[in-house]
Amino acid sequence: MTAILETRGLRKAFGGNVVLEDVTLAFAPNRLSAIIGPNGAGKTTCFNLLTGFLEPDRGEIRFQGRDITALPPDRRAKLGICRSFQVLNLFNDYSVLENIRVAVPALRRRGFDCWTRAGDVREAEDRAAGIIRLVGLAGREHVAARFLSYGQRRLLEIGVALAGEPQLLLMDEPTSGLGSRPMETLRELVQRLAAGLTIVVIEHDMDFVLTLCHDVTVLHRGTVIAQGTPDAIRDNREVREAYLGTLKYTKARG
Amino acid sequence: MPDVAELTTHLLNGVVLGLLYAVIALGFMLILGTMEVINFSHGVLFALGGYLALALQPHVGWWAALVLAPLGVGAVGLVLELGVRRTYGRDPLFGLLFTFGAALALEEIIRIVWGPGGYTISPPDFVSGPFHLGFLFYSKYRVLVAVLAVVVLALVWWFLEKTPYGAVVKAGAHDGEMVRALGINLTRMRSLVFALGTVMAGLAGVIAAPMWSLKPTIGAEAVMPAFIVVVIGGIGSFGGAVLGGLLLGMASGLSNLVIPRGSILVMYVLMAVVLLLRPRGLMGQKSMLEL
Amino acid sequence: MTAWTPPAMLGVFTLFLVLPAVLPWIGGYTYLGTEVMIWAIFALGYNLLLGYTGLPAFGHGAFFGMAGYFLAVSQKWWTGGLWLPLLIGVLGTALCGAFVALFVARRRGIYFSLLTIAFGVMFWFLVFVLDTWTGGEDGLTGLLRPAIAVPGLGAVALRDNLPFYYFVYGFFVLSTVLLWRIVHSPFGQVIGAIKQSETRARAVGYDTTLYKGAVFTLSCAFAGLAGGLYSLARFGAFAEPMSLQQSGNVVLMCLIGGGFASFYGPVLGVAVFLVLRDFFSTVTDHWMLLYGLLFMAIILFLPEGILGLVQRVRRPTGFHDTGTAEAARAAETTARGSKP
Repeated sequence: MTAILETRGLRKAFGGNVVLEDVTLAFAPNRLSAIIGPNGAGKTTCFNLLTGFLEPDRGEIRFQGRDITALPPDRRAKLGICRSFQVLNLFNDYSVLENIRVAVPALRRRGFDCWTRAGDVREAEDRAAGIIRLVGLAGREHVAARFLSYGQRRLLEIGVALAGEPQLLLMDEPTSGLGSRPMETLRELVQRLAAGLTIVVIEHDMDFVLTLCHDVTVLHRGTVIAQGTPDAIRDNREVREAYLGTLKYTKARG
Repeated sequence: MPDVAELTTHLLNGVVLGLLYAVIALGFMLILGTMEVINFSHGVLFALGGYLALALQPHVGWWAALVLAPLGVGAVGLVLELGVRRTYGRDPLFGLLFTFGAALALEEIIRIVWGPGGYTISPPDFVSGPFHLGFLFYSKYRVLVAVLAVVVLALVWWFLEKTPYGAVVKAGAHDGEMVRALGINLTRMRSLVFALGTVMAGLAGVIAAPMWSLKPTIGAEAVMPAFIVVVIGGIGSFGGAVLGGLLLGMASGLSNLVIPRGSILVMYVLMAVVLLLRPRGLMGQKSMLEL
Repeated sequence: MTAWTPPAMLGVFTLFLVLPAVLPWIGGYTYLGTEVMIWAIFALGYNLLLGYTGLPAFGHGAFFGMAGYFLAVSQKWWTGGLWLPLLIGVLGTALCGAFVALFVARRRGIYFSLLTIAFGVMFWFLVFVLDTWTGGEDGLTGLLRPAIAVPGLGAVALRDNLPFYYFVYGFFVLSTVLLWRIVHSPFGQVIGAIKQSETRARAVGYDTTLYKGAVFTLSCAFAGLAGGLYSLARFGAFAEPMSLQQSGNVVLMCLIGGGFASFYGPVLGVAVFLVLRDFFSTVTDHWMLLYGLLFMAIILFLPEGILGLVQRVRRPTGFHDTGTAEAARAAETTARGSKP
């Protein structure tokens, strides 16, 4: 299996505080993988390293075989690494359409175009419309992001990441705080996407992880303590100890 | 070709100027670091210090004025902070603009009270005249300025390093929750820091007054180096403000030898070079200001 | 026609077209109108930086002022004429803007402001150091307004207020249309995104430093145009607009009018500001006190400006209308029409 994304020996410390130590990961293409772990395990820091918002103290990151350790976030996004954030990070005064459209490569390529009307870039409009339908926000194109409900904002958050035509989609706690309706939409969405896209999620919702994901990596206090299929992880004693019941087991299926 | 005496004089002038810059910049930086407010009125408060001293000296003598004038400026600072506090947490531009407006109004008030002309102030009798140091004659007053500046800097250093309040200020406590968790009244702390910063400006104004003539526009001239010192020295660092001030003072003093008006230019070249090599300033620390 | 100039803009253009006829009736004078348009060009370009990208540059007066010097120096000692010096004014200023952008584009917020102040002051001092070129405190006087060749009218002298007013008017119209296009273009979308979340903008693939540098330089180009016209208006280049105090003016203008909330905010702000300035200075010698107090009052009580207030009363978005609210209303009407 040639991994689409792999890291070797990542280390990150803030001052004296070592947040990640010797993290070596490999994510296979077209699979839905999860990174789980108790709070403070370093999961979001890991994402920040993968997307270029932080630089590792040690170690390297390779995407499709190419060393991207030194690349800034915007370059990585252009390569197809797209990310949604744990704490909603939307363009709050932009409409749903504007939020998604600005992330579409067709518009991004024309970023320095100061003359055309933004709405006249047909390719961008079409792609954005498609994404809006995909994430279930059709009919709300012109609502400003700040006026959406929380569940809708979560879906938009993912929509913006999807708009970038990712080859690798990183989602940081996408189900956080979702009610049952948006949760269903999200599950269906993720299942549909997983076919043609590599997805890595950070999640606390074990039901989501165990039923949908192919691979699970467990982080605890900055190191990888287990990797494997959901079943193997569920039965792993070290993992259970690490969590000590802080997981949300809604329904353990199969 | 300047001889050794002239060179040394300029060098010493540079040091004195640098120490003065450091005091001004440090007060400015305390406000900037703690409340993320660019205090535009810093310069005019500097001037106000000088004017208040001018008014008080005939009545209470030089030393008392040295203490009272900055306190008066501090009082004005406290009043100002009442308005500035309404801009906390908003776009940082608003704090800047508020103090900008205050600077204009205060400068005009100075003009109304004391007139637009300049005053020359002579140093107090016990330090008038020069020191004789071997080959060199140096102004006694400037020595006093240097001494006073060092005392002020040492006091502030002690406050920052050795007191709990100072520790909080040093940490750049714009994190209200953290501060409250430590049991410190955030509002009062901000008032105190603002007042402290303005007191320092006022004090610098008092001691600088005999060196430069006192006019309403001197404030604008005094605040500009403060910006540069903070950029050069880095935000959030006591050492940076002192180092930046000294560098700037010396560059100014020395270049006056070579190109009389070029000293300003030297300041900026210095700033540009520092920014290119050390974007955060010489001793700057990563702070929330960068986010 | 509306794709280029929405109705509101046509209204503004018409207003300024007939203003010279109206002004004397309301106690104004043609030169005031000229000043308003010149500062409006400056403020609209500056608002691209402040209101649209969220970059609080403070020291932009330096660019406004230096353009005058570029123009004056070219006219007096290099090319002579009108158009070329004007162009040189714009290009020279834009170049200086690009230079400063190298240092400041990486920042935002307070640190950005600090740096722009420092550079603004640098240029101010530079004027006095280079006084053989700039005339130092006296400025560079003796600027000419050569006649221009207008197709159909022959040579039109610009020395008098009225023809010069319409000369400036042409640039005012041009600038406004240009800026409107910029704001509604893909580039405009990107800078708006940067304002709302620079992190997210980077995460979706934009080199935000590059864009910030570009918009900074662009705003300086407009400052260059305005500054050049200003020096022509005054028949000379002077350091006065480059001072830190005057740099604050353009910020205040944008704020009073509601630059954060509306494209036209700066224009309204300029008009209000200049009228108030005239009014204050007739009332008292110490108008700077009133001015400073006004500044403080606006910050405390009306930070969103006049148009911001108007907008907040009319609809709650409160930020630049990039079509959102209008489209939403349109969609709403359609939906209402089709619902039972």
